[in-house]
Amino acid sequence: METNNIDKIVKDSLESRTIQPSNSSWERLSSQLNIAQEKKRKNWFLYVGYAASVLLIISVAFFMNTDDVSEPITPNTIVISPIIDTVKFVKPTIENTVKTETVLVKVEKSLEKQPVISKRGMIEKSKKHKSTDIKVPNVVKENSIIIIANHTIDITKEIQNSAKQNSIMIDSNSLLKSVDQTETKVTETTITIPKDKKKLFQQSNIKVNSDALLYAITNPDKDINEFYKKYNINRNDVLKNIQIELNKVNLKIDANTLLTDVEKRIDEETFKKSFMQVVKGKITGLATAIATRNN
Amino acid sequence: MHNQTNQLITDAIKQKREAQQELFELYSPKMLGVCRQYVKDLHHAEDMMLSGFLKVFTHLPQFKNEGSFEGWIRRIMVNTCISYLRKKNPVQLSDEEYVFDKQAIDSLESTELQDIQTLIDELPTGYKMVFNLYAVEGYKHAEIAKELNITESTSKTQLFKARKWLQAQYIRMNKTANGDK
Repeated sequence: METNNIDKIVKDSLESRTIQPSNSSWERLSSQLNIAQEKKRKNWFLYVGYAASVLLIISVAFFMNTDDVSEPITPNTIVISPIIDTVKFVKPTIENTVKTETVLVKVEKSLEKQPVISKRGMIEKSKKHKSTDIKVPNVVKENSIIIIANHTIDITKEIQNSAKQNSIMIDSNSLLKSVDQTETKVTETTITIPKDKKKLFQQSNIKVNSDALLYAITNPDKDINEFYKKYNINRNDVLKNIQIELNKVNLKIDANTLLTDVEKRIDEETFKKSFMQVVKGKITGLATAIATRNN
Repeated sequence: MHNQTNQLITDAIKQKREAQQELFELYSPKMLGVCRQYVKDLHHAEDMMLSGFLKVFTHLPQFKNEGSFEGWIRRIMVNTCISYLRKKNPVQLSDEEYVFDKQAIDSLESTELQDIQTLIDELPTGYKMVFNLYAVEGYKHAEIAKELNITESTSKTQLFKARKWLQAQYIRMNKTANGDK
């Protein structure tokens, strides 16, 4: 009881006690408050400085990284490129990638306006068929450029497509017939042009597929081969003789081409009589023609 | 009065010196008395009070009007004084018996308030802190133990011994005042 009394006595005495502080106490506190505020302001500037520098570093790093544009990596995608057989791979030629659609329409125009005439000015029906059998299938003419493509294309479809695209109403069958004729004519024309007359091709803007031309030149018709066998004539010997004759008249024409040209016009009777005479006559004619042209 | 105090607090938060001065003048006498309970020297007590008010004004935005403003300031003052005492004299808060200085007891003054303060001042620091916190501030033993970083039993023991000594000295002081020898 007495113990609790002392607690109460002390509490009552001290709890509500007031002691007046000295006169300078507020001034001292005020100066301390000013110092504290100044410190706080400095700290604030310091924090802002830190934040600004960190932001600057981050932004610089960001812009430095954005220079390296890396393609996004697509996970779980395996790209398998097709295996290319380098042994069998044939590099696509210009002839193979020709836009046949537009080209064929221009063929039609050229057919209507300028009928194609072979160098010799004559066409034999049997030869027409033979020339198509040789499979020099697509004769393409674009801006007076003639291209003989290697691959067979469904010409009827091509004509229809091109006609649709160009809004030209043409009967595809009739056009096909005319194109067939043109093909033969042009093929023959190309055959008669010597292989080594590249300058001539360049001047006239005629481009000939070398493979097709070589095929046409170096492979005589079946009939002619039969004639060779029948009359026991060696074609190589004939070629040698032609070359000799050409050298005599100083003509730089491929003997093989000349022989093939002669072979295409010759028949059994002529063959029987004087095959070499015809060849010589041809050479003489060519020499005269060239001489006349030069004059 | 309450509205006026709230307005002063709001202005003091905005760092208005006039408001801060008014609050200081309003509460400083009482708070100096609180500090004087713990610190024997008045000048040191005033330093504690100023240090406490500096904390009050810098942490004023954290005051949430949940309790009385005076109670909040008082608690800051008590904590400031305790921190000061603990730094100055590492308090020996053991259960050992404290041997009181007999001459100090003899020099007690006659006026009751001053006598009581003198009795409190004569208490060892540990006893004084426990007694003030318990008897005057109304702390529980658990709170005292947490505040002073001691065990609850130590706090109880210290309080018991401080009470016993104060009681004996208070009775003796009264007998002396009444002329009983």
